[in-house]
Amino acid sequence: MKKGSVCVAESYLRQSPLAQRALDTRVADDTSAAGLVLSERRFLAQINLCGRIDSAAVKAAVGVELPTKPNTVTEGNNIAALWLGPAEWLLVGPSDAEKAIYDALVEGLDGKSAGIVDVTEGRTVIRVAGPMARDVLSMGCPLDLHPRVFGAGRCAQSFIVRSTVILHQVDDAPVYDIYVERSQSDYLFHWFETSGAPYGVAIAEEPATNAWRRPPRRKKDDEA
Amino acid sequence: MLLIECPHCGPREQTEFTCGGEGHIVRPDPDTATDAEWGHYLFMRKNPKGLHFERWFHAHGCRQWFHAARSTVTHEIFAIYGIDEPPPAIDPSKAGSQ
Ligand SMILES: [Zn+2]
Repeated sequence: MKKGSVCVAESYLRQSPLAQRALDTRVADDTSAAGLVLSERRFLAQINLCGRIDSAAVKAAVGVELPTKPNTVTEGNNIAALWLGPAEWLLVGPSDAEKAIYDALVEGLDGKSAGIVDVTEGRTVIRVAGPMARDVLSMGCPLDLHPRVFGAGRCAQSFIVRSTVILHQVDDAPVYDIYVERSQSDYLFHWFETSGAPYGVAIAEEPATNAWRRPPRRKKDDEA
Repeated sequence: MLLIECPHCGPREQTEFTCGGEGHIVRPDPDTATDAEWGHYLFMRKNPKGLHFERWFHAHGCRQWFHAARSTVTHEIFAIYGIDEPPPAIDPSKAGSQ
């Protein structure tokens, strides 16, 4: 592939696949009584990395180290790196940072073997929190989410009621980020709302993200 | 429902996996194989009652292939091993083989 030939959707055409749910008009003032608290994290930058990747070069390029332990997440410089396979990762950054992160990776891994693909438009992220979050998830997901097996900093690929997802536990509270493909996100959100209804569902404000800043570039020998 | 231990992800539900059928089938050289040998390679499988060495794919997880030694009688899984590893020694009578 020609370097830098990635196709990024124009931002003015962008619409969340959950837009018709108008979540921002339904944000609850107080979510403390709800068993399940849902929100959407829109347009997070998502870069898929695969191959025998030089982790130190990734760290120098974007500021996060790749996890080597299966199904774990490392964080750095406002990027989360999710382990997807022995030679596959998903880098997740704040919205609108995908082009900059992609460019930094292409430059940082120049001359090395790597697959770098911007998959930002492919999925949205549903944040699932509240005291009943684990119980509701367990109704539709075959993963063992018991705290002795699965906790903060863990991720896994599986499915929830037949929708392929990446699940990332963000906090032991518990709080989960569910990465779901665009076309299945409305179905999955609807499932969360109906399955959480007996415990009370509240919509929360979209969680804030911090900006990604490119680490200072090290001068190459030939430039010195 | 089987609980299958992915070598990378640990125990996961069977629905996350795809079975790739019999393992350790050696592909003959297409330039020298006879039609009979090639046909045998493509279509003939052991289909045993009892111990079976087979390939599995963690399709909804880490998307990696691996081998499993499973009883086709009891579904008990005796070993999980790498896709490039030879089959381990297992007493076939333990797997209900006849
Ligand atoms: Zn796996």
